[in-house]
Amino acid sequence: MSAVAQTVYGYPRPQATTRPGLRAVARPRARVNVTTVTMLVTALIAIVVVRMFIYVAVESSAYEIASLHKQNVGLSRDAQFLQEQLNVLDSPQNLAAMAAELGMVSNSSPTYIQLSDGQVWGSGKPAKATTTTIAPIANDLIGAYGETPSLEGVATQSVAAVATQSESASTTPSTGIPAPSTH
Amino acid sequence: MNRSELVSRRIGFMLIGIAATVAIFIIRLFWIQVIDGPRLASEARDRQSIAQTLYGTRGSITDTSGVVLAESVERYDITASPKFVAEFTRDGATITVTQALTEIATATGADQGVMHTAITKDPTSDFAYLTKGVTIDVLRKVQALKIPWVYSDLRPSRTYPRGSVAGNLVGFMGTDGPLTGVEYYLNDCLKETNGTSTYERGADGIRIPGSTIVTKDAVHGGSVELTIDSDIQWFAQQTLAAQAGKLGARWATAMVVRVKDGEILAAADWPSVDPNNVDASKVDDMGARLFSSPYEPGSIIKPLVVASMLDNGVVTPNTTITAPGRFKIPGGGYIKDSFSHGDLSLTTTGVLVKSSNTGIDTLSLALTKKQRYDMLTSWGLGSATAVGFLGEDSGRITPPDQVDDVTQYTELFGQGMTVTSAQMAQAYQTLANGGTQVPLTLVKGCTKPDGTVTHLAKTETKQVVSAETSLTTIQMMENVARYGSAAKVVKVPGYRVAIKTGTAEVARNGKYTSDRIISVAGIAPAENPQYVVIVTIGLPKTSRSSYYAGPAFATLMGQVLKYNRVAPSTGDFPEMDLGRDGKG
Repeated sequence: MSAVAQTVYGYPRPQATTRPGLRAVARPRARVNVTTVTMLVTALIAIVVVRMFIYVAVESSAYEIASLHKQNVGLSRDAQFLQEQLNVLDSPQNLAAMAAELGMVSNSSPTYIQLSDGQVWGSGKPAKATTTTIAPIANDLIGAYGETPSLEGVATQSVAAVATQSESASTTPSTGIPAPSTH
Repeated sequence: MNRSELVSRRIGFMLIGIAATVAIFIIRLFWIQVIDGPRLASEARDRQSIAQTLYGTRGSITDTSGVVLAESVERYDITASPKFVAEFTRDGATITVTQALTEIATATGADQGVMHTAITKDPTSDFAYLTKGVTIDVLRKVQALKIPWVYSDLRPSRTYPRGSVAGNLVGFMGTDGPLTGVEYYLNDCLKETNGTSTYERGADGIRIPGSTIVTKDAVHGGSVELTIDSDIQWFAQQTLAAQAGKLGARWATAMVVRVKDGEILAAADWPSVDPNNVDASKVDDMGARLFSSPYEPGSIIKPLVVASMLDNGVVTPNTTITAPGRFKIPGGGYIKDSFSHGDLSLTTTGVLVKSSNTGIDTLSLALTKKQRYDMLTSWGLGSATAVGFLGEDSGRITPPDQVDDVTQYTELFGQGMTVTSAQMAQAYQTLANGGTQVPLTLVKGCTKPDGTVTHLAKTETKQVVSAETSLTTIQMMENVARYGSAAKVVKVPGYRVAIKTGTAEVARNGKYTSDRIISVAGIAPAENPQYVVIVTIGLPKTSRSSYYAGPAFATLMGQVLKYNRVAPSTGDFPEMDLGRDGKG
């Protein structure tokens, strides 16, 4: 052994001067607390059960999410398809055809009344009913979706929309619109 | 060997054994994780994960008020797996293959024979198309049939709810991308990029929550907003169809431009392609003639020439000249009018009203070739408009160093030079806007999904003639509307209009033929110009005078004014001196 090994680093270990007094102690009686054990076991089972329920819940949520997602996709496809048909139904070609079907005629010489002084521009003559058909502006989609919808309350050439009109329904002119005093 | 040595050796062997085992584990781990890692990972992914295409949506094209002219929609391909094709049991009943095909044919309208061929051609195959591009309601009907070997695939498609209204502008898509129109020339704005994602699924086919990995995001296309008003566009097409149809013409165009901002409200072509059914149109009718087909405009060029000469101080409205029956061109040749006459005494206004070719050339006698050229090009003729539409033509004005003696005179009444209707609309916009040219605009902009806007309209303006010249010229054109050849048919009740007619001869193989292109270009209301309308009808059969373009002009202009709620005209008609022979 070299001298290095003899070098003592740090504090010297305290030397016991006296032997500590040892004595025998009585062995404690093993006390099995039934309540505690029951509680612990129950808690353990409860944790396992709760965990299982949560797991099942999460799993079934996955199914629910999947089904809701599917439903969402289905509904947005419906919405898109309905919007698509609506865009065709309100195309000018279709509206013109529907208007003509209702017996409406376009008046190419409009008449204007200036409300402030009652001045009239234009001929004031109503448009004449024409038998000329409107030149169709092609839209291939009208054949697919552009069927004239028959709705309740919408007039056709043979059926009036409103059979009778009550007197009270007539509108009274609101104030603020410049109007000449006519009789 | 003593006991302690024995223990040491045992411990030694044990340590070597442990070290060896650990080494094996480490090597194996290294192998799995690093060397063979990627392959195993991809194999695992292939077993569990399902790759999906995330479809980007191609942007829509709308008109100025948001009306959809082109949009992307979902369609579905009905497919089958031929190797699984067999009869099956549904609700206790056995359904044969033929029965199943009949049911699909009823639901989709597809041809049963074609479908039968598709599934029997290669019975070992896993994939065959039964029918393509059905709508969601049809798909649901097919799904309700519960045929186990029938599947569906999403197929993004393009639809054009307004049909041929603006079909000439919007263009259409082919199988591999856009073919023409805005679809083509703004494809960099509209086009989408598909992405991919993967998700993992359990044995029952249900997606495992949280397992979706987007490997590449889908990028949606931007939407293009046009300046077109689809209602006016429709009305214009309707008006053209009625009038051109009556005249037995080959084609017709109309353009409506708002004066103050140069926005094109309608750029109508007749016949116009229905992008939903391209096959129904001739190839010639698939584009926009307004931009792509140059023609010799005829007399509608005259107001521009007169305005330039007024602006240069060469003439005044009352400059009186003698318009000869035959105008002898200095250097040889002569020019006639469309009607034979002796010497006519006309003012500059009178020359416009009578639309005299010899008169306008007489007025321009003092000008040089270069001055004539500069006059025409200052309005933008000879170069494409700011719209820069797909295949837009520049027209042709021969440069002064190349132009011959005859052409320099015929150009002043619209012969021997070509323009597009769009260029004429731009020139009339300038004339109506106090001489200030605002670049013609068709596209308001492209809005990307993140809100950035590109492709904005150009706004640099150019003063071509003075406001005073513009006002005077419009008053002269009001006299044309009242006393000119088409006076009876260009009236718009309630409004003062300023117009010029044009009857251009169509040249073929260097010779003028009996075919005509007739047009009326006008501005209204004359006292406060707001709209320019140009109607051009090509190759009419029954009547070949510009008079017959008048009714279409008046109808369209009337509708434009009414639709845009322009107040009826005020002020008096500016009566002007037409010269001794200007009237009648």
